[in-house]
Amino acid sequence: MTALGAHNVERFLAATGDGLSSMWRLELLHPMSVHFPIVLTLVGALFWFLGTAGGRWSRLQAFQPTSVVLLVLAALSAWWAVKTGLWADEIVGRELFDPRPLKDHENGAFTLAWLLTGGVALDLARRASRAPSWVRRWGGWVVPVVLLAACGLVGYVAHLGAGLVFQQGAGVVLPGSIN
Amino acid sequence: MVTIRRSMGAIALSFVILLSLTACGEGIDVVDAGTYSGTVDEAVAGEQEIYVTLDDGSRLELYFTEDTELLQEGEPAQFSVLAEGSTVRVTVEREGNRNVPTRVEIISP
Repeated sequence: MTALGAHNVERFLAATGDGLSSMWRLELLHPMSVHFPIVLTLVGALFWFLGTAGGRWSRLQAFQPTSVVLLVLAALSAWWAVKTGLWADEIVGRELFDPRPLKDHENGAFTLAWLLTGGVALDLARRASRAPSWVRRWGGWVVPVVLLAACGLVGYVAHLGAGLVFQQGAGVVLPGSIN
Repeated sequence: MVTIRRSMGAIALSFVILLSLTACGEGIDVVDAGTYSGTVDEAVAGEQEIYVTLDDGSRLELYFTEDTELLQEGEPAQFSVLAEGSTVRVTVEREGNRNVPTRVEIISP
């Protein structure tokens, strides 16, 4: 009985006569990094909104401390994703069929990182015991707006990034094309 | 009712902000093969790359290749001569949806 997948392995070896390319490539740090800010932003925002619930849902306010931690990590990981993205750009940028989505992806990612940083800073400031009343009052309105915008922007940026990989093959090496 | 109205307002405002944010930062354009005049926005020596804003406002991202000629007063020049504000005349080809410079003449460094 032939093992599952053996047919594909045979076809692969027949086509390439070679092994797989290395996974230890600098540009691959980026796809590994980007999923952290995506998840942390979405879940952090969800927890933030759950944590503001009142009335008979007030038990959900227990989500608040977790949301703060998640959103701080989201901001930090967003900057790390930007950094790894710039490294990836140096390697794959000149090979793309259409570099315009890459530029929009980078601009959106920078904006998102700043937006998250500002939103998190304001959220922390309004929670501080000595925060002025206007910071508490306006922070309570600005932070949710920023979080909603950040959730939308993370989808937009991720969509562009996915397009770079799945439509233009950014960072993708065909089996056998390098050793 | 007031809470619902305020929430809808916050969502609408977020949507407007989101649309504004997606337009942040300078994008790049693609032009047909040809020769164009413009000004260098940015020169990235490490990547042998320049951004050029053409006279019609289009902004090109140009990666130099081994075949790209860089000239100043008709003589070959070093990439380091290029800087923000340099005026150039670029001859580009179009490969897919990107422009590849074949010749860059520095008009004023």
